[in-house]
Amino acid sequence: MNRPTNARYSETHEWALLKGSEVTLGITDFAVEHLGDIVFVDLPEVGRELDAGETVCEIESVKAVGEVYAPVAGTVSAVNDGLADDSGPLAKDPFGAGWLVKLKVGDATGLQSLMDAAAYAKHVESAESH
Amino acid sequence: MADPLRTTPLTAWHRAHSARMVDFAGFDMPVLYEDTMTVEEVRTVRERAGLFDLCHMGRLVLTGPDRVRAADHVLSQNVARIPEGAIRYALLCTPDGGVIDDVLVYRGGDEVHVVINASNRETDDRWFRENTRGMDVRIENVSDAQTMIALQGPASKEVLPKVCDVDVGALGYYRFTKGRLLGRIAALVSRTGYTGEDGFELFFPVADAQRVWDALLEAGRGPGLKPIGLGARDVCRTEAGMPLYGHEINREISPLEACLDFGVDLEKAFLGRDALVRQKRAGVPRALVGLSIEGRRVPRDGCRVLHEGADAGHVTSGTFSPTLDRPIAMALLNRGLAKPGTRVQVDLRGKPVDAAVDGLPFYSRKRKKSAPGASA
Repeated sequence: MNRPTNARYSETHEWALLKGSEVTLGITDFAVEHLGDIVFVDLPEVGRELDAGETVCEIESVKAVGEVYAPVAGTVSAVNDGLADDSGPLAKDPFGAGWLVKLKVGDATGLQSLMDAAAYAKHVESAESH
Repeated sequence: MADPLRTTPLTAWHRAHSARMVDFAGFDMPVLYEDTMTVEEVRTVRERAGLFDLCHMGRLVLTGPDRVRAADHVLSQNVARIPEGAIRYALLCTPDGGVIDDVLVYRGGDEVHVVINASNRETDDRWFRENTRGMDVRIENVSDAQTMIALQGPASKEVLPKVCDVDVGALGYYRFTKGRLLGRIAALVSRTGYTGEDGFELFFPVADAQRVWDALLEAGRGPGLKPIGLGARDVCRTEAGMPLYGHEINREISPLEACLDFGVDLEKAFLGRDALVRQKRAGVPRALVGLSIEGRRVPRDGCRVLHEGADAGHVTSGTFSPTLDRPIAMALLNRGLAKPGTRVQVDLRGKPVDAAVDGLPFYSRKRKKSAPGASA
């Protein structure tokens, strides 16, 4: 899977893409693969304020639940509502149609501490060898 | 450094066939195969047939004049009354009535076979030996010498005869017999399983593991037999309301609380019996129930259950059921709340979710006729 090179990546397998003052958040192909069969995406309400590191949403698979963390503080400005009824796009296209939420952020400098696509690829490699 | 994971004779095959491997009770085991994934694997078992590597499970063979007496002392089931060729569910209990393990007992002519959980291989082995000292019994641990494979699903009875000379039609549920695989490999074949489907479990020498595994997959190609990981095995057993050691039962949960009375004979002597008799007389405090959960969020092991705001118990296993297309859970609740229909709430990681007490199992296959001993 081609990971967008303009996105930033976290150690916990979220991706974040900044456009203006809005960050689109999702989980990576690696996270999708490791969750297994996704059965439910529990999205937050628009307007919710989140601190950096706070749980944005939960993704239920048959055997596990994955938590998605906000990489920076912000206010939920949009959610990918369709996923609540059909999580298919998340499994098929996690970097596109499977985006999770958009956050309006005041200060996006926290994203700088995340990995770029190349560093994330290395991170995944080392995670897979365990 | 943790100890290196133990392997089975089929570990290399799993790794070469898209398995995602996990540490299960210290064994390197397939949780799913990437080509199928858990949901499809569950469907395969329910509609066609699945093949499971169960070499990690433990097996003890008791021989000698006191073999039945020894088994009866350690196990909750009345082993002396199991007919030859039949299998029963039983528990190993502590003197205070907690559960050390749950097992299947195979009553042979000259031996008693006990199939035990992977996580309790060493514990059960030690428990049997320590508690049968002075008896004329030989306890052989054949876990590493034997292959254990399960063939599960409605198509199993079509597949097995292609590799095994056992008369499948004559082998009743929870019965076993000796037979030959591929014309020459001596095997023990039982009509048992942990999925809620019809199926078989095969025991034979470890040297033939790969040959038989390959032959079964080849024989099952037409009916759609696939290898199945432990993830789907766990979903199947949860749908079928079957207990898993460490979840529905452990040393702090009695078999009466886990509603496993069918595996406990209080009329005979065994380790833990007196404590269980006392518990029954005083009133069994908890009961294992099913929960129907509203919405799509899945309760997991350990989630608290509340009734009218007060603590009512906890979830022991929870999963999304692909067969029923909804979340399901088993829970150990205060016995007064065990009545089906009782409204409770499950604390799902801080969010309360409405649920109702439901009977178990969630799923049972359609049977043409009921078989004796089919309660397990």
